[in-house]
Amino acid sequence: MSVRVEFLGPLKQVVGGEDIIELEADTIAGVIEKLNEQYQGVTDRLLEPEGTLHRHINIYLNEEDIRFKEQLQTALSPGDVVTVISAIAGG
Amino acid sequence: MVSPPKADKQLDWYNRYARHIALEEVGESGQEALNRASVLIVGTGGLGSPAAFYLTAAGVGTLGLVDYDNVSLNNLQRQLLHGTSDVGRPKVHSALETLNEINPEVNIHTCQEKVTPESIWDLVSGYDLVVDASDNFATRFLINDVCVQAGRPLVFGAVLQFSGQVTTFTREDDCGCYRCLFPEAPAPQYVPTCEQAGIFGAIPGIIGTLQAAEALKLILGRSGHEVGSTLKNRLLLYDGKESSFRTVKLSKNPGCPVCADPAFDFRRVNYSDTCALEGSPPIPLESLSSTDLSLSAEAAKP
Repeated sequence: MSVRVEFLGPLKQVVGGEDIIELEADTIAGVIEKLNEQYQGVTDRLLEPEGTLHRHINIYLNEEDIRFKEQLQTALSPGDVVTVISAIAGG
Repeated sequence: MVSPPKADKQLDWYNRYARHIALEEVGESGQEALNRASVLIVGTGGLGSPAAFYLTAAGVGTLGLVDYDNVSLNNLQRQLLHGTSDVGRPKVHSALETLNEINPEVNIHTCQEKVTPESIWDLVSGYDLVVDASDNFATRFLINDVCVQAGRPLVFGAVLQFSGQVTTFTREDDCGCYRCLFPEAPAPQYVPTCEQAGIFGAIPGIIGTLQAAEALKLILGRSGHEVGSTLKNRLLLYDGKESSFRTVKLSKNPGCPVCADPAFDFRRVNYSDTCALEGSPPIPLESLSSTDLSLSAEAAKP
């Protein structure tokens, strides 16, 4: 199913500065897999070597943190918006 | 603390705060609540400058400023408390002079020290609430953890390049903490600093001003004045390239090892690395479902 993916802030460079990426995926894990096919290194920037989400990365499905849903296996519906952000610390 | 209005000062008090007093949501009693409040700002740089300006102008009774650093020329592109002639001086000194000129009635305490686990408890516990205007993860996690332990509300703000993040942790039972949002600091190679990656000068102005507004609303709200909603349970994201704001939901983690653990003690945490908590190894995401989140205080995070 078609979903919309947005990387916000400095993390946008991971997907070549693209504002919005439309792709087909059934789960968050599927989104990351598809993105990694298009943009080299996405998996490394988002996931630990063992496949878990980096602790400074948050992924939101329609503004809800996937850590409080079904994690990377969170299922997607057509038209969903997936937002990816990173912790930042500048002041 | 700013003295309550007395006869000889009353006219000046009304004049200075007339635009606040005119607001139905603030009024005289709200302004008096601001005058009685105390706020600690950690950092007097890009975020701390606008936050301190507005809290001082608003007449917050006591303002604490902590910053160990001296003013550098490359600070002046965004750190508005300091001027060219201040280069080389302690930031808290130039901040104090600038703020005294804005509102001499505010009692300003300065501390030119690094924030450390040894020093922070006395600082934080002496104020009603804390504004995190620091510039590194270790300090941010330390501030968060101590604010939880001391029961002090925390207004968080952070910036990088063209981006900003703001939220408010109120310390209410249904509100989480920074570790519910980001459990640990990233390894240094993953997230650059402003020194490394740059910062568009007006971004901390926007975010620091939002932090000031949140702090003022917290003070007013806690004194019974209805001023709408804070950013409790919401993370506000600002994209300076797109000139757009958006919010995402911030959930309290029932397994948070800091805000969900009454026995948490920040003195047991190593803040020099990733601020990881002892005895809280990473939990494979796939091993937890949403229902697991309510099970154990030992679960470091979802």
